[in-house]
Amino acid sequence: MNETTLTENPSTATAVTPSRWRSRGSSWLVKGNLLIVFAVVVVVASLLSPDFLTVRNVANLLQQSSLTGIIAVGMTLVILTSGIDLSVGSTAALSGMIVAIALDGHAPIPVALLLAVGVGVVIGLVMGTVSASLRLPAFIVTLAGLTSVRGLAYLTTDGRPVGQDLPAEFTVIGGGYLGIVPITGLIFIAVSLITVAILKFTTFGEYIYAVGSNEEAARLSGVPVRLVQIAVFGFSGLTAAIAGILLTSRLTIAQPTAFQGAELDAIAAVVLGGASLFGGRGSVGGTFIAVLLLSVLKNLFNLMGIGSFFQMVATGVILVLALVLNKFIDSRAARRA
Amino acid sequence: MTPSTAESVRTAGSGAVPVLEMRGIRKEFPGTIALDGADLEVHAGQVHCVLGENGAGKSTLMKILSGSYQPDGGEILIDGVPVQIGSPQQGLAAGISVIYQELDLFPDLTVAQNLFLGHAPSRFGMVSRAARRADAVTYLQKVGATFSPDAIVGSLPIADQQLTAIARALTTDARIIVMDEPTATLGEADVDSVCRVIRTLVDEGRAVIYISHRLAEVATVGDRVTVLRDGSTVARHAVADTDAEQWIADMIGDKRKELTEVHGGAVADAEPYLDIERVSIPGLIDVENIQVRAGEIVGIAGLGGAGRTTLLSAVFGARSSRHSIRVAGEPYVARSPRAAIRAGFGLVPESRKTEGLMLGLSVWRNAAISSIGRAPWLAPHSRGKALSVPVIDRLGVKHARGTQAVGELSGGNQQKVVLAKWLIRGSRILLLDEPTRGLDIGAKADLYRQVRLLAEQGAAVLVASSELGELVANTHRIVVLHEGRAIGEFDPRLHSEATITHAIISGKTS
Repeated sequence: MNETTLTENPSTATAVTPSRWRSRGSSWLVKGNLLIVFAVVVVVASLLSPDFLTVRNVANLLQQSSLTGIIAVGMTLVILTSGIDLSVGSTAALSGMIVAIALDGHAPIPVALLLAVGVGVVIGLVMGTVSASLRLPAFIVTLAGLTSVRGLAYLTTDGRPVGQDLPAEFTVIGGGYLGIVPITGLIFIAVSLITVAILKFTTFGEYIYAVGSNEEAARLSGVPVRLVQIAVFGFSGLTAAIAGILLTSRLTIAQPTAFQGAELDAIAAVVLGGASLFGGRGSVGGTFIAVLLLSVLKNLFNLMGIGSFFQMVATGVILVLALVLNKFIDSRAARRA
Repeated sequence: MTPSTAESVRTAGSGAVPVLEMRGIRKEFPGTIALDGADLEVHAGQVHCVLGENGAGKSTLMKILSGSYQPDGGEILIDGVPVQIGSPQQGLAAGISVIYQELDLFPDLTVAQNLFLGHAPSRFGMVSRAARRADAVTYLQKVGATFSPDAIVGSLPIADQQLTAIARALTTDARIIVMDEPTATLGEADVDSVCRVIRTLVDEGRAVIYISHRLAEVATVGDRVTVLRDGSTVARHAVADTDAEQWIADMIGDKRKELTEVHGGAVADAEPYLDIERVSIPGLIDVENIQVRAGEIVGIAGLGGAGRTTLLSAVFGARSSRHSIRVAGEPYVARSPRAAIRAGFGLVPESRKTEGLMLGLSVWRNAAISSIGRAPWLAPHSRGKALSVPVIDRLGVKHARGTQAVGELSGGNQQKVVLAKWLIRGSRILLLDEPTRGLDIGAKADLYRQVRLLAEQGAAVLVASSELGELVANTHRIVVLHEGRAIGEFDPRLHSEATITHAIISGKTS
């Protein structure tokens, strides 16, 4: 602490080089603690219930978590820019309706898919544009999106389910297996890997972290801040649409009431995965593990025969505990650094 | 108020025990001594003006008085009794109220709420709104305000907000009111009304400590003057017996009459690379004719609020302005920072923590962020690393590893990372805004060494600083801004620091 002056904040102005192993140790702990928790939960689950580590159960687990997971991956990018997207559940429902309506109208499958995906992307882009260009809080803009897009989903069929005889080539996407692996699980993994690649290997990904870390500095560094903000909402709309299509495909019917509350599950997973709601920190890998962790817990409760009301309480408590743990480890790491 | 009563108050106050005395105040910050033997003696019923250059220690002295800082030496006496002011709360309790230049009002609350925040008239924990409103009316009348106590503060004009702040100081029954540049953002008519209010305050027997760069105002409203230089009190005057020329001479001192050693050599008489014909933002700046050649470092000097930062951010496109600027002979439009960067500009902003850096991200990421936007848009990490490493090494940035968060570096090394950003980008015009703020002496010298190297390699550099000594030692020419206008240009090899300081303070070049 020997370089501070009038304008400096002493805690950040000085560089105290931490010893190598210590800094490595703490950063490994921060990054790895979710993985450790996950591993512990898996071990406990397999000890408590012999059914847990069966191929069938694991396949089921992946199947269940993949739809929320895909939405959460898109949400991760939005949260990394310090935004939030509350409209994803409604967008997923609308896309699910549209794909079913198109297929009922005998549209070719690729056309129906493109249409549904396109609607999701456009909704995301519109909300991103309104929020970024007019500088309105994303929370409010997407909250408005949540209700009005849900309204649109109902309006498509006046509230009735649709898609009574969807072609088998379509329903196999959501319900089929490749060997023992559910196809939706593979899609979840693929979407995650592609997003990891975007974040790690493109300038767009680099800009996402820059905008989330310090919007003003990013602007003064020539980063196209508005474009980045709009693009992540477009991406979030895309992943929501994919999830919507997959649910319609799996259930072989589309319902306008689908994905109620999915936005909260997605946000919970992103935050549990180590992302900061203030932006600039987080990763798709963390979100991926968190999604699996949440559904393993749910699975474990089911295997143990715990009622769903109690499950809701327990999930909330675990979420808070995980965040407290994260914060604790984080601040210890920061104090050492 | 008649002139005769005012006169009687002024003379009556001077014989008695001073309401406030600060003796031999000393304050050290790591690397600098902000105050070293500052004295201040203020009598009730007087407006006491504190003068000094940028960095003379005025703000530090006031922060010690308010209780925000603790002095390392010296004593404070109120009514002749030594006191310890350990916190701003104790300062308020001792009857000291500070009105900062950036008014610390709550813009979304009403005037009445602002006046009594923290000490609202209440019964059983309930704010009695009627009593508060009635009290607010009384205090507003005292300061001659004509607006309603129910007005939302943020919707009032600046002058009325200033009056609100003064009225709030009265509600705590302050006997010593410190005003830090109260008129800096006011028009002339508003200045007059604020001055009138100040006179009524002292006529009631309060003391006002008045800090302002506008010497004409000091002559109008002040009774006594204390001049600080380099952290010490160097002169005290009665306003009536002296004039502005005397104060300026005291502020400058005689120690820098001779020419300092200057690094900037002559630059070939080439065409200007950056030619600012005019930049104007109504009410803020109207600057004409600043030219920078390739290889040249031009300084921008001026008092706080003279428009240095505004000018640089306007040229960089970070805030909109009307302008006519040429770069290498071609017209340039400062539409946005992106456009500016494409035209070859790079800005090292005033606040590196909030505007210059993404503190949570790594050294490499920060350094390369402006350079990875070109196709192919792939592998920014490895490309950023490849681009950053040689420049970071050349600048001698001390860091544990390239993936270290830039927020963990020291101030000097952080600033070098900001500089590296533009080196990597290959910017040919560098705009530096207070580049050495918060750096120690070694880091400052190091930074300027790098800037000179860049200029030698053909960059055109425009550097704004509140520390004239720095500009004199490191620039080829110095443009002086005064209240938003460029009033003159000086060659540090031909003009002494004293001459330039005179221009900075007085706004006159002769």
